[in-house]
Amino acid sequence: MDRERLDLIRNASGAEAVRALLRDLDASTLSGREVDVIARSLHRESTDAPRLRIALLGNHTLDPLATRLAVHAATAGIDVETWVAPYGQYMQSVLDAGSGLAGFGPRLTFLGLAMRALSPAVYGEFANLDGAAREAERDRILQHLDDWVRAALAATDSLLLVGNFPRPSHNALGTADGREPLGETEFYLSLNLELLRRYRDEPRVCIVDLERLMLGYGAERAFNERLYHVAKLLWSEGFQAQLADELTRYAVAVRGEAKKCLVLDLDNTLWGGITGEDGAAALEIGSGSPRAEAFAAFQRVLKGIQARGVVLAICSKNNIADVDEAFAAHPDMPLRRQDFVAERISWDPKPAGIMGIAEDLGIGIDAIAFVDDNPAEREIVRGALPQVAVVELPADPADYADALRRQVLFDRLDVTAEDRARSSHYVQQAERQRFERATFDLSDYLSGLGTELFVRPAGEADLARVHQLFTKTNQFNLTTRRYSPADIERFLEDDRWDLTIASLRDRFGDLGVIALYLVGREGDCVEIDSFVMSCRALGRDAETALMNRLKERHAGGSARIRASYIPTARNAPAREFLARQGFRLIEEAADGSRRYELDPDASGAIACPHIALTERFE
Amino acid sequence: MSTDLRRIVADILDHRPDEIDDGFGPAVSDRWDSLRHLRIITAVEDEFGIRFSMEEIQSIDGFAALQRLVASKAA
Repeated sequence: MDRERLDLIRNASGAEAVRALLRDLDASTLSGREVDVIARSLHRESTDAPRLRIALLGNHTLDPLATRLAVHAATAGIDVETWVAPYGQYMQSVLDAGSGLAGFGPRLTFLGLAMRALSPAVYGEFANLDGAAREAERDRILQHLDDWVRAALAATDSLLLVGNFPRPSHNALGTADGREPLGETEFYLSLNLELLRRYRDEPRVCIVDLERLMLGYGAERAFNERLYHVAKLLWSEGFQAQLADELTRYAVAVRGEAKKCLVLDLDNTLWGGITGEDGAAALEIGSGSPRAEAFAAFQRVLKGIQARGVVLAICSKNNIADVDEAFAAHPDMPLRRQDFVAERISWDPKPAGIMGIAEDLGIGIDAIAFVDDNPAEREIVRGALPQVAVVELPADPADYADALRRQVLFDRLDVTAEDRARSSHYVQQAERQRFERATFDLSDYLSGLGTELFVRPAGEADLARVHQLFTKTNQFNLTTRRYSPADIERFLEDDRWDLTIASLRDRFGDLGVIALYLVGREGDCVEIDSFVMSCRALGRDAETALMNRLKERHAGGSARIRASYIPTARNAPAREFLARQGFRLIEEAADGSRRYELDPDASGAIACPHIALTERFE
Repeated sequence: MSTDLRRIVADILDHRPDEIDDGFGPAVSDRWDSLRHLRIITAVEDEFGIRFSMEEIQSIDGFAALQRLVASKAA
């Protein structure tokens, strides 16, 4: 980082100003000194905004990692507060209810254990152990970790991020390792594989693959023997940067800040050459030249991102006919025209195009990432739409694929069935819109859709999708309460809570689970804690049908149903919902928060003739 | 050299560069703790392209000693 920018950050007041200066910065290039200066500026002023709390525990010095993590997360727009357990006290911190960990209340808890301190025999004397001793040591480590996981699950509501064990870059047994019973390579592979398998179905445990990070960075550069001996500082500055990026991915995922749409330029971004000038046939894409292969590799990365639930869109200064021809002339291109769910192909400025795409898809500008090979276009979009994540593309197309893979933009804790099908949902949506244009009367249109809503109580298997709806739905969300998987598990286990989900289907396709409500009930007091519906299901009275179901379940007798609307920057579409459903406004605070109570005379179902409601899933 | 060195130490310890004189060290600034000691060492190593041994890392007891070692290595 140049000195001027660092001085600006040093003198900036408040986290907001610092974050603006950090935008689109590649944090992995920051030196330790720069990290210190930036971290101080970030936390100079106390803020009322809630910070994401991350605890770090281990058996080596983790304080510099914590400082760096706060800075890396800030470049991704996330305000983080860290807590580091007293040196080596990773077990005490989860077993002792009075430890600082419980008081800190982390949302994420990272455990990083160095093999050299956990098992000096495995680390230093592997060749001296026989097969039985190696196996016993592996099982002891797994048991020890499991003890920690169980205690940590009980001690906090946090998502646990457990680091696995990178194997040494030189085998203690040399070339004979592969012949040994449980040689060193097999020891580490089986240990890490067992860790992965053991916690696959535990929604609050994630294995952080330090082994893979070291593979990318270089294990010999990742460790710092000298500083380990001096101060038990295990990882080099460069590797700490890699790990800070990896942990930031989890921060993005739990905050639900993953981008929903990737807007792409075409010429020299998706293929080499300019369609309108060079002609469709001359474009470099697929095979036949190094550049053609590089662009094809980049397109395959984009297809992978699409499979994770991010939809693709085109924003290009082009003639539509030329673009059609480009796709038609290259049938071996990995991305097809129908992979793009929205497009702005015109000579209008790109910020306008991006806003149009967001509107078409019913998502916020801040849910968009933008890729363009032209630095001038990137600058224009950055300037006009600061909420859009603009990806810095390197000059050589050979480096495009890696540049995008490195981005901390698209991470989710789980990829659900809804994510995998999202792109086809939007294609179905476009078919619905064509049908809407062909049908003049709204009522005819709605009844023509043949909408069916399937409703049932949420179960353990729905946890990932329920968590996603809570964390990612912004517009039709009465209270915007971002519950964690641990919270959701509590709702599922406790009879006083009714957590109900709804999925929707019509003649064009299945939209999957698109809505939920959470109702708390104590005797006659019924509180609608949350009522959330994905924006792609709006506009067909499904929210009314779901509210009818809620009333049917909870109204009647002396029950009093109350609900709140808490305004945010994004949830205006839900503002009048309760009033329309027969709720009476009983209180409105200065900040716009409203309290409602269901009018007993209006507790019956409101007609929604275009929806068939069923109490089951198909 | 000494200006750059002063600036590194000042940045890491959150002091003004002009506060860093020959008498400056852990004895006069409680911000110069063991973790920041390492921070200073690695920053100086990176920016001057030099490397300290473990003994040297432990022997540095303030700005003057740091300056002497850097001068001898950079020469």
